Amino acid sequence: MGKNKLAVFGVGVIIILSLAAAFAPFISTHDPAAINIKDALLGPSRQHFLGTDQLGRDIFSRMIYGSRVALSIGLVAVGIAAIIGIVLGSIAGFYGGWIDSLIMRFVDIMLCFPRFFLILSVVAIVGPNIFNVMVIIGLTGWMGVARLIRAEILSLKSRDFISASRALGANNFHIIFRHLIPNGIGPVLVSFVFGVAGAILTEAGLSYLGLGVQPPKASWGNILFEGRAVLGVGWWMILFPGLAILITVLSFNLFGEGLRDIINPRTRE
Amino acid sequence: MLSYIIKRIIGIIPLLIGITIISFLVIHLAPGKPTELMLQMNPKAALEAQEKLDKIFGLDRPLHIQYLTWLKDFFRFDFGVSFIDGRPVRDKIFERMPITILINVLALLVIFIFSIPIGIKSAIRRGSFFDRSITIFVFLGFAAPGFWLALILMDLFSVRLGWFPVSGITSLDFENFSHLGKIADVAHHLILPIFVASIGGLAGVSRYMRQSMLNIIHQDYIRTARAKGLSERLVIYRHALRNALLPIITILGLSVPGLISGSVIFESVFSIPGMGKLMVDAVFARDYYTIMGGLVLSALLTLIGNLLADITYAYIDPRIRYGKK
Amino acid sequence: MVLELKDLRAGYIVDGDYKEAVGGISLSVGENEVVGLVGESGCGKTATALSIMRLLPQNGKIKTGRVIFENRNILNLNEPQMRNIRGRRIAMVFQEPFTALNPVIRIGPQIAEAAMTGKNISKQKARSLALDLLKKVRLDNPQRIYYDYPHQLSGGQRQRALIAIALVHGPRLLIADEPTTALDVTTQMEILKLLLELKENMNMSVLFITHDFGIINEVADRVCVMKDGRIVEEGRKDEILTLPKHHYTKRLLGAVPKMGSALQQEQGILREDILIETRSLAKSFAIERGLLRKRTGKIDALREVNIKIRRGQAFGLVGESGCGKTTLGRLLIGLIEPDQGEILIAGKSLKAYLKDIPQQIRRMMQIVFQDPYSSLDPRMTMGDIVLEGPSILAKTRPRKEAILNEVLEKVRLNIEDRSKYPHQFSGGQRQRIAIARALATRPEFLILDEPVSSLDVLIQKDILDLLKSLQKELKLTYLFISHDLRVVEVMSDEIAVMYQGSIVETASSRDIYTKPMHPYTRHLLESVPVL
Repeated sequence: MGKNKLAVFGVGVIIILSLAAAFAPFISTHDPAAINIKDALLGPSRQHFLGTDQLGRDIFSRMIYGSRVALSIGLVAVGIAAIIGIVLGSIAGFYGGWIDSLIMRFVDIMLCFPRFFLILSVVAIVGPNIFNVMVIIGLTGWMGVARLIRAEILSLKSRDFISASRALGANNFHIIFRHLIPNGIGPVLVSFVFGVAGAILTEAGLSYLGLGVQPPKASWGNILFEGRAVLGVGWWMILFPGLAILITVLSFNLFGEGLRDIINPRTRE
Repeated sequence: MLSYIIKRIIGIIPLLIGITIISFLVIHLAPGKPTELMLQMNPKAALEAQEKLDKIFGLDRPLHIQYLTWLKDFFRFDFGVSFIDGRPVRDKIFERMPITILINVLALLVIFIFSIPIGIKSAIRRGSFFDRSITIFVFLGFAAPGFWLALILMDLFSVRLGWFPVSGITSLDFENFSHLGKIADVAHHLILPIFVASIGGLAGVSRYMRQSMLNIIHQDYIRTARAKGLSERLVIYRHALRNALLPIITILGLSVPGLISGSVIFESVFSIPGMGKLMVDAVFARDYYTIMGGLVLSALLTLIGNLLADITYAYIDPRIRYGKK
Repeated sequence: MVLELKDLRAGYIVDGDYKEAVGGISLSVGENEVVGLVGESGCGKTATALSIMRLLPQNGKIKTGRVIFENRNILNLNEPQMRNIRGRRIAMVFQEPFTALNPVIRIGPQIAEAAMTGKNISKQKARSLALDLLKKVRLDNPQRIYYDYPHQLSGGQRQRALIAIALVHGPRLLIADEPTTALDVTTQMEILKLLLELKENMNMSVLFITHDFGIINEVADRVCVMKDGRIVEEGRKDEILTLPKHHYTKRLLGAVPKMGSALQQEQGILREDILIETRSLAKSFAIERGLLRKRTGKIDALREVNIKIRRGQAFGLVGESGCGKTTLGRLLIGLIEPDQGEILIAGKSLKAYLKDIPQQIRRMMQIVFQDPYSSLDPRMTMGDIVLEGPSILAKTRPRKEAILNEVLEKVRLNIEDRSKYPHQFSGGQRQRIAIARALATRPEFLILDEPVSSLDVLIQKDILDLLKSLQKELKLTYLFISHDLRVVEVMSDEIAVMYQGSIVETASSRDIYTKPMHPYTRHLLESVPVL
């Protein structure tokens, strides 16, 4: 089916991206931080595949290094969010009662804040740099995972095979590791993938505002940040990073959809 | 019904308290006091001066006292004073809130009006060219960064084609316009921002609507409707649609924080004097009181949005309105 | 002849391939006649019904054949013409009353809407027609029910409403596809009687689809037996029931549990050796509402239940849904705790242990659940599932191998299938896996909570036979819970009848069948569709 092809496309792009990030020093044509005023604002050419910015830095190389930023932020931020979300969501779902109510209240409160406002507020205090951005995106994005895992656990808890396991004498440990986790992990993985896509978008937005990764470190978002000053003249600074973000996020989304399709039919009849 | 509304409103109170606590903690758990950072910009200030400032802002008292003081002031609508220009935060926020709310409400309307028919048609004509094109649009809408789209649109339509104004919400000679002219002028300025604001939501809600309709079309009661000999049109619009719309209300409510978040982006791009831009400026200037005020109020807006959505849902879904016998 | 099917072939397109569901069937329904179409699930009976109504889903196709209704081949009609027939000349009632009504529209308007379809009548006329129909289907308080929403009605009431919708235009033919399968036994009988009565009054023909020969006996005039998309036998009901010719018909008839052939008391049962006993056992569940989970009320699931199960017995527990039998089963096995009263296992009270029931007692009793789909972890292999108990008890690998071999042989499953996953097995096989899992810890007491209710009638018989032989072989004590009195009666030597949380009568199964004392027991007996 066409859907499978798209998912494969998504995975392909992700692999290419990861390779680019890993081998950045070998693929880049220039030093991404090398300032060269006399070459400022040149359009795409054989010298500079994607042009240069106001300081003469090669956009292509900056974008290759930017892929490192994008992927690392995506993975670390979602990793943090996943850990917090899984722990809180599992406790809430498994134990129920007042712990559940308490945790879910907390989730509800956190969800009331527009995510960007919250992130901006924290950035205001701790200052914008790549590390802070990673952690903040993670700390503000765990709520969805928590709810998801809690819902999975609640639905699993009432399944007869859990009751059967208890009747056989299983303790909580056994139930969690033998039954709940293998069955619940699917949707969590799917949300992980979508989470990476979201984190990349969020970081891009932050950097675009100048509150994310700071230059001279290159991120796709901050190339756009610098590009807004030369809107109309340096279109390559706008088009290419945006396309890169678009394609990357799209690929993760397609991958996530494909993953979701694989997870679902197997557990249903 | 009334008791449900009252219960829900009461249920909001702990959430409100939680919101204020979190907003407070977010700012005050930071390393360094706000005044320190302020003074960092002016290193010549003596320790004495910092202590004086501390006293003025009450930062020398224990944390929970600070919180309660702030909370007390908050309820009296005293949100403190902005570090940037000394104006009361309250005034600054209330100036900007209407614009942000206006744009977001209009964006919500656009989303609602367009994504429902799109979703229905995609579901009925599943797999058709229309459906597949919409799916492509949805995926692109999810993946494209909002600010990038905004920039491109602005570049294309405002800078190159000149169809729309580049920034702000009013033209320079706004005052000279007639009443109708003023409305038209604002509308003209808002078209691009609203479009950008609603793209994400359009993509999401139309997809959700499609999914919802597809689920419902396979339900037993649709089969019963067909077995009655009803025309396909009645089956879809009288039976399927009503059920499919229910979760959309909740979804619309849930998309409020996302929309407000998005305000940050498009208000920056289009230089619109709304709450988003206020927050960004406040962050750059480390204007803590404004930040806290903005946080709490935006969360409050979300809370109200959700509450309205919940109440509407409870009203419309007879299973909740009438409960079980 | 109201309806005639001639060589109808229809099927579904799955993953691009055409899978035939109806393989050339011919049957006829005469005036004022009830024709029963009986067969197991998947034999194509529903596909046949949907083909007649031309309501097959998008991936369904009618290949060839003729459907002659009132002297016209309705397969040749175009859609608007077909719509004139649907709901008006041919009406259909489906299996699941809980999901067949639109949840956001009131009952009355849903019936009135059917009344107004195709006819130009005023809203008031439609409304009064709807009210008349509500009375006709014997719903109490039709005025109130008119304005109720579906979720405010019980399953039986909903099915009556659906029948009302079907009968609005006084159709010539009513197709009823397992209309009572999802309902309680007593409600089932009421609905069946209602249908017969309406058929007489309205001069209607009925095509009644079911898997239960007992129901066939209650309602049908003629019978068609269907297997794998074909009719293997047909004839008048009395002939089929007394002199079935086709071997499949014989098997189907043989699979209906015959009450009255109750087990004799097993010689080995010692009157005094009471294995399981409950004294004044009570349990209620709180209804929690709202954010703060305030208790707004409680449901008394069990009230003061006293039973005594002797070693070696097959003790039956019968009752309709909501009577508390499942709660009792779960209490005994220690999955939930009683609010009051005590449970004694081999004389020892469980009260002392509170939540920590020790391993020895735990492994002594096991449970087999109703739904073979949800009682097995879809991500575990069959071998692992069966060995879960011994694994928890930390048995050695060679020991576990031996147990696996032993237990799979007893339930007649293939050990080579041990690496397969549950979805690769059939429903009956999955239930065997569940039984094997229960047996792996060498229990003495087995609770069977509706173990065959989700299974097809022939597989049901297999499993019941297996359970009977296992009991003899392994000297097990059974608590057999079911809503189906026929099954309970045939499997047990002593039966307790439950109603709304209390046991209303306990007696030997012979006595229950021949001299039921409690009015509810009698009502239950009368409601059971027998051959």
